[in-house]
Amino acid sequence: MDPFTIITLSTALIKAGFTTYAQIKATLAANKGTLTDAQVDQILDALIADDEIRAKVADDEAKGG
Amino acid sequence: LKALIVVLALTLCTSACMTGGAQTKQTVTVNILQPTHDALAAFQDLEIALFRGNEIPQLTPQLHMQIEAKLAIAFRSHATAARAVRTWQPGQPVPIDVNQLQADVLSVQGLLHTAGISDLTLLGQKAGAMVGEAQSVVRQLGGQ
Repeated sequence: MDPFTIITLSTALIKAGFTTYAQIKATLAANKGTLTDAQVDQILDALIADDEIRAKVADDEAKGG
Repeated sequence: LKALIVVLALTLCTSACMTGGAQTKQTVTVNILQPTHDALAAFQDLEIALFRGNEIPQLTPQLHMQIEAKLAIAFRSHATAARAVRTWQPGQPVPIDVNQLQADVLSVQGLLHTAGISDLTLLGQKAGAMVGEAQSVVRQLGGQ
């Protein structure tokens, strides 16, 4: 799949609330300052996963898409 | 780049003792790592969109590839930092590669400047936000 399509799709999914990262953001908004340890770990897992996806997209783009 | 990596053993014990280890981990995650990630992601989304749309003449295929190569490193530096916080236990030092992350995003901004893309453009502003967040990480977690 084209990297830009992936990002566009990812953005659409986030807007639709289907991704873990979006769910995490909702959790954050609903629990300001009162997250459990498990929720914090979930956020970190989501950030790491998204970092890896975006690094892969960047790798592909850096090679000419 | 490996040679440039400065892995800092940062002791958050002082902060942890004041606010509680769990609270410190939450603060680092929500107030530092997440905004930094979002700034990087916003810049990447915009850069790719502008490149695909041929919106900026200076954003040549070569520059685009250079920027994305730097971003790949930056996202991996960010993931390294997030993993360090993920496995951190209260009272233990936290190894966070904050200087590398800052160097990565500054090099992206440098590419824009070299290409004559102003900080006043939307892309320049996103880059500035990305650098600002990375510098915030350094300020709050230590480093240079």
